Amino acid sequence: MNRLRRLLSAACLAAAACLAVAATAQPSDPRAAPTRQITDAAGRVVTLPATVNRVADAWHANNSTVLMLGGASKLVATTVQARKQPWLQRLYPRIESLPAAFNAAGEVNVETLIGARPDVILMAYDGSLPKWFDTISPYPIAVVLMPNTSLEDLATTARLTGQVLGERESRVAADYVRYFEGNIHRVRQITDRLAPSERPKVLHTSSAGILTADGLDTLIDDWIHVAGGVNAAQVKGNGRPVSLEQIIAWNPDVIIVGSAPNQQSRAAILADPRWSGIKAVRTGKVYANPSGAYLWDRHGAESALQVLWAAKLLHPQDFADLDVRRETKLFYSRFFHYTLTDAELRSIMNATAP
Amino acid sequence: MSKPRNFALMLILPLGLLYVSLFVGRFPVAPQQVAHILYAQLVPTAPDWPRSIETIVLQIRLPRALLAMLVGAGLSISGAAYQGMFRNPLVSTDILGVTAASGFGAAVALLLSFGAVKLQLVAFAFGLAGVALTYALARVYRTTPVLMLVLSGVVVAAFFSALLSGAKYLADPESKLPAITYWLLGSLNSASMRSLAMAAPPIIVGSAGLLLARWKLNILAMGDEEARALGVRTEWLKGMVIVCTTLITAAAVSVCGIVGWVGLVIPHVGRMLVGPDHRHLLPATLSIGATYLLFIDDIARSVSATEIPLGILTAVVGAPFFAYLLRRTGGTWY
Amino acid sequence: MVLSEPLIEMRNAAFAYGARAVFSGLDLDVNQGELLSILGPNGCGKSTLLRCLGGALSLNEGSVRLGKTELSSLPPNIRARRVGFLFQQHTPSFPFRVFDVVSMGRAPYLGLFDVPSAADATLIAEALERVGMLHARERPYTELSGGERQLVLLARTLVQQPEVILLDEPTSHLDFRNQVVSLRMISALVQQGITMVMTTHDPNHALLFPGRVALMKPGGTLLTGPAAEIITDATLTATYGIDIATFAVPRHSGSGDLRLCSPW
Repeated sequence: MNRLRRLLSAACLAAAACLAVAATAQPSDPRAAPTRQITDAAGRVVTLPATVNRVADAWHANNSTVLMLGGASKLVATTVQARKQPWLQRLYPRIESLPAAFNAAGEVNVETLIGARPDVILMAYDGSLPKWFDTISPYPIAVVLMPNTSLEDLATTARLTGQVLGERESRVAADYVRYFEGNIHRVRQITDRLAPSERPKVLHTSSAGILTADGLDTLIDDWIHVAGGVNAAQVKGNGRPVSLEQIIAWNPDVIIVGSAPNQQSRAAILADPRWSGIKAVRTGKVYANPSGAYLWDRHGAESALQVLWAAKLLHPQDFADLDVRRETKLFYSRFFHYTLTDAELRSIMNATAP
Repeated sequence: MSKPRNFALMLILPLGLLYVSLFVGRFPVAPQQVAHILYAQLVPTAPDWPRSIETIVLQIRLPRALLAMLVGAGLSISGAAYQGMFRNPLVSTDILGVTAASGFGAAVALLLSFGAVKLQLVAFAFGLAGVALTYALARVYRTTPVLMLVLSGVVVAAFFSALLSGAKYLADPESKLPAITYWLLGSLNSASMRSLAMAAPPIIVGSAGLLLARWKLNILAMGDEEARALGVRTEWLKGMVIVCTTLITAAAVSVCGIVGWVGLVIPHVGRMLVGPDHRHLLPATLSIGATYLLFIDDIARSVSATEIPLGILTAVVGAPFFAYLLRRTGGTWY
Repeated sequence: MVLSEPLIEMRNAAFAYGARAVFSGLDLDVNQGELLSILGPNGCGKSTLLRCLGGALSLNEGSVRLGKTELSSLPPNIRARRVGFLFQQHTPSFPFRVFDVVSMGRAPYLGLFDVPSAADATLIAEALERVGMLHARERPYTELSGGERQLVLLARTLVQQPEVILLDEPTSHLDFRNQVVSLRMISALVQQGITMVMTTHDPNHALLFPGRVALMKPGGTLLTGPAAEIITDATLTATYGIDIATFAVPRHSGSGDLRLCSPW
């Protein structure tokens, strides 16, 4: 009995010792994967794998940019909304079946995200870290934050996205930025010479439910200015709720309706007697903003086309030689590698589903 | 305060504020211009004011002010009726789930990009459906005991709140989600003659019903058993009160979103001014509620270029006032 | 004066709360102009019996006739014109004026949308006078003491102008003085010709005034008869399960003897 007990205790101690050794042993890594570093919009230095093959895009608009840069095959997780974008589904049918790890409320489904095994997450940066940042910090996934407040930011975002994706995509990004800046330059050649009185007052409003205006210090303010207009909304920020009498007080010369369903809202505005006194309505200058792979008036890849469209809208005589439809076809074939039919083109310009 | 003076004040104050509301706002309008414009509606006069001002006064501010008064009056009289019927001064119009259900209906309408008219109808219909569900759940042996009503209301409201969260989850973050969010915070932003014409009948009919039965409401406030012993058909009366308040509240939510703290607080103000007798209380709440919400809405649309949601203002004003009431009465309401 | 026809006739009555039977096969008469005391220990079903007697609860079996009419066939407002209730518990809610509380008693005579008229106001004032509370007509009834509040509620039943008033343990929540005030008021009203039925668990109350007693035994059987006959040592001891003796003491007003009972 005594000897048995002593033997058992010795065995237990030995087992415990083995476990302890095993627990404290360092995992031996024969070969560390090569990495590179980039600095993102928040000033963070992010370590990425040298080759990125799996990208999760938490920023709805940016999905169209990833697609455009040729990174479609590397996209492994996206947002609930991006998955449902009709044009994205057409250009990139795979997107419907991608796992949706992020939703509109800025929340992340950790299991879905981890299940997709991304190397890096792309996200917009508006001055504060995303809501899900702390939730995923225990996991070894790099997060690259990209700027989104001005037109210039969009070029930076395209470059950064390209950088993250890889060499080939970087080259496409450089090409895109050249094109983007080329468009802006082409427009500004004329609009920079406009006197303040020659700039029409433009109101950009959303068409869903409540009456809002997109004001100063926003991307929309930027392209309005580049296109040769001035923002009628003297408020700061995106989507600010305003009363109708405030809009009447501002008396815009042009009204642009963004966010679906644009045509319906445009028709409603033109038909509403309360809006009839406003200059834009009286002169029939109420327009629906085009929308393709993403809304042209917000942060998607097609914002490069937005400045052309808006400039032609506001100053048709000065841009008589600019054919927006032709430019759109060229853009789609050059960057999305897609040939638009006339019907599809119409639906983009009218912001309807393909 | 003497009765005739009370009565005069309760009539003059809201009407006076209505006139003021017509020349207050982001767009500068002079008081005389308002007077001329209104006069011209009765006696045709050559206009010496720009068309835009007439549009603002008659097409934008007038329906909005009238709607604010209707909603304020309706929510207040409903709150008073419920507080009497449930014998509980902490009760508000949301207790049977009409607000949650109506809010969900509006969210669905926004998701599906319905126009203003359809949105109002859908929100109204959902509000009615929510209360019908609560009532059906609360039936016990052909009666609807108060406790069952309250519990069923909690369940139904929670159910529709969950559905509402689901709707927000599905909403596109660039447009639909902010629209739903702002709508839920309450706003008369979309007021028009048409929305006024749609919301007015249920609110007026519901308020009339409550006014007519206001003496019987006193008896109901003594308790179901006593009321029955006095020959009151309590089930019918409760049913009628519920139908009237639901008509009012569903119409209110369908036209201006969720505006809280009105149905809860105004009846208390009314009781402080005219006493608990519902014969005087219910008419008083109509006047006080109309004036209050009109005043709040004037602030919401005039103070800054960006509109402040009504629900935020009524909470910011109402909650501290309610806290003050609590301190003053020490928790006993008599 | 007692008429030959009883005012209320309850025959073969049975009532149960769900599966729990309270009483069955019960017969009870209430005679015009009398004070009937329903006596019994707590939990024997006196309150239930009272409510059935007045039509507030529906019997499972049997019938209750008021005059010639079956009580359950009367619409609630007609019934309220003939039967008045004073419940044991009243939880005050809002501080209504005393006058307004009493005016609620006119509800059986008013339509859904009517309010009390000037004629009603006279009746209300008279009722308040009768119970001695006219001086408090403008005060919030929640500020009154328990006893005063009960007098106000009694005035409210008077204003219904009923043929019979049913009182459920009218004295159980009152202090000593108010018990006396209340019982004296009840007695005065009976002498003015109003039929009253009251439940009580204290046999002494039943002995105070001339009237009949219905002694309710656990199990739901009734023993009815004049107070002096029913309230004896034997019956009390059997009903309450403790030794109770009855005895006579001279009234301190000098007018004869008063019967009392006590376990001490």
